[in-house]
Amino acid sequence: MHKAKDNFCRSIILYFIFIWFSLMIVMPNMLVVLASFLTKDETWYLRLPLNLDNYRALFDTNLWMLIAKSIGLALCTGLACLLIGYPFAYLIAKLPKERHSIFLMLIMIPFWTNSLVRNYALVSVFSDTGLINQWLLNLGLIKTPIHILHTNFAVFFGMTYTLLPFMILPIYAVLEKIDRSLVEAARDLGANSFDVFKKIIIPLSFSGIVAGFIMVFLPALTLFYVSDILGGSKVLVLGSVIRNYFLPDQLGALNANWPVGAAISVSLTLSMLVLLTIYFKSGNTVEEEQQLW
Amino acid sequence: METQAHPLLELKSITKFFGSNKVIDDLDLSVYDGEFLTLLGPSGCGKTTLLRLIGGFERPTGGRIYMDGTDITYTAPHRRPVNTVFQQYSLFPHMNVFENVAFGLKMKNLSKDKIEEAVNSSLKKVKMEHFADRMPMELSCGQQQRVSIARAFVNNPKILLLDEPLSALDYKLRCEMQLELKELQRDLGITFVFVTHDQEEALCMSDRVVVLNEGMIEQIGSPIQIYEEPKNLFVANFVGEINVFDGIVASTTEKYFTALVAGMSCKLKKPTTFDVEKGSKIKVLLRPEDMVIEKIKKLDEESSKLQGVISHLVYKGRTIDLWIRMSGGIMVMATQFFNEDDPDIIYSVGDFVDVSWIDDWEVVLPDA
Repeated sequence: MHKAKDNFCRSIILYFIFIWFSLMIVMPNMLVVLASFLTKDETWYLRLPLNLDNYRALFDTNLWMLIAKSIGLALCTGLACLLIGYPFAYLIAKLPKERHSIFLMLIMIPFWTNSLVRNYALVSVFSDTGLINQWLLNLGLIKTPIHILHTNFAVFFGMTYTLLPFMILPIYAVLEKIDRSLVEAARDLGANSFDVFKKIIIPLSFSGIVAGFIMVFLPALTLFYVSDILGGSKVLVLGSVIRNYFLPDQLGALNANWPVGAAISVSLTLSMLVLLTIYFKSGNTVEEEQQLW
Repeated sequence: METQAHPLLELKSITKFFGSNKVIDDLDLSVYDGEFLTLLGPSGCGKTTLLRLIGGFERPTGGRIYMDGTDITYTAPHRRPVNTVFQQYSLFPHMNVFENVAFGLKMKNLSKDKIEEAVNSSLKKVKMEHFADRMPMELSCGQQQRVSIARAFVNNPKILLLDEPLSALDYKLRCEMQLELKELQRDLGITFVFVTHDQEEALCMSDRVVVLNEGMIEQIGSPIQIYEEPKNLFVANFVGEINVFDGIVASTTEKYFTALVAGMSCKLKKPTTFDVEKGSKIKVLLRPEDMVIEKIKKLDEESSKLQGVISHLVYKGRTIDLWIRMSGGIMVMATQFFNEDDPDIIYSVGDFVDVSWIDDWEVVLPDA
């Protein structure tokens, strides 16, 4: 009797998850895929017939320029997050265990504030009348405000700031698991701190670095609101391109073209999937090793 | 070995605190070149800490460590001529067997040829030469242990530190490895400092055993000394099984004295380590295998021997362990070898026995 009830509860939960997953993830994605094969319609956005023309937009050189820019920005963001995040994660992992949670909380707490709000906050730091310029003016270091807002740097900074936790957490998770005795063994065998870092810590935390990089790189391609808020009217990320095809009114530069937007979106999703597959293929072997270990 | 003038390694009044917890208490120890020294003690006695102090992974709160007369108390681990075999093997999981063993030599910037030669010859010494390309996770525990031993001695350290390296292996493999380690140590001529809580392991491998308890040395000596002449009750109880009898000295002569042991008058040899005086309390220690058991028909009140009843027995193949409840109520353990020609050897629970021991094999300690 009891068991039947348990099973009932379990199937309810499973069904709920299944329905949620279907409605919220599978369905929308299928709609996007479907849209990418349809034809543009001025009033209804989409109409038959099915065709492959939308994917031709991918061969547009302008789009490629934008993609290259976006990838460049995402790479820089990933690199900056790695350079800041790795030492951070390393230092936390080296602290006594009971203090880890405090520092992880310090990373997580700003994370709970909507990132949109945090990026608007950055506007008031970077703008011509913002904090930085006022300080510099007051200190007499500059005569006229420097333009920071609406530059590539501002977008880059916002991205790095928004995505940093995604780099720190996976690296921390891997570093924290590295057996201390491996470090001692390396020291014992004549390795100095630098050797230990280069030959033991980095290779053993590589899966975390890759995970962190993917977690930063992929969103950095599409976080259009950061680009919108801090970059002004410049189109800097692939996400903005897609957004402009779907919601052209904001900038008015293009007419709405859902099928092309969908085609770009599908292509982006597919390339992300390829990247993630490569990562999980390589990541799994590392994890298996560590588990067996 | 003690006659050697200069010890290879000297620990001088070493004290180590972890917080307010004293782990090593004013300890002096010398390690001599080429010996197999074992640090033996129960968990928490400070033996691993002592090893880590020698390895350089901990710094003493007080005291000095000298290697060949040079003060190395604060020298970093990678600058000490010692290498450690870790309890959990600690092989680098991202390197294969060859790379693991080569790690220390690469750190010394040796030439590729030299490294290859040294690695191959040390893998051969631990019979792992066919596994050079394997990853650590593809090896069994015993094989990992061999690699970790090779990885340590390939650097030709002055002292090889081994932190309970065999504790994770099963019984049979452990016995094999004990013999192999001992052989390896003779072959290499490197000083081994070996940590274990297993007294059998300590006795069968070591030149000298250091029995540690609560951060202090209870006794240093050869395995035979430790087993046959324990200096105190801790050593006696920790190393092997032992029967402890209370006694009171009744009278003394030049070489012998008589004492009332478990209510029986016994003539015992005078110990050399302390004076026995009439009326003083003593402990008489006897190993189970030194007990002599004789079956009797029934208990005899008039008997001049200790008597008892077998309360239970454990058959162990080669030997049989008897627990005998003495008339006074105390329990005595006796180990008897099987003797197929002697039918008397068939004991059963409830049998009455005379209990004595081989003359002069007892150890007498003062009753603290």
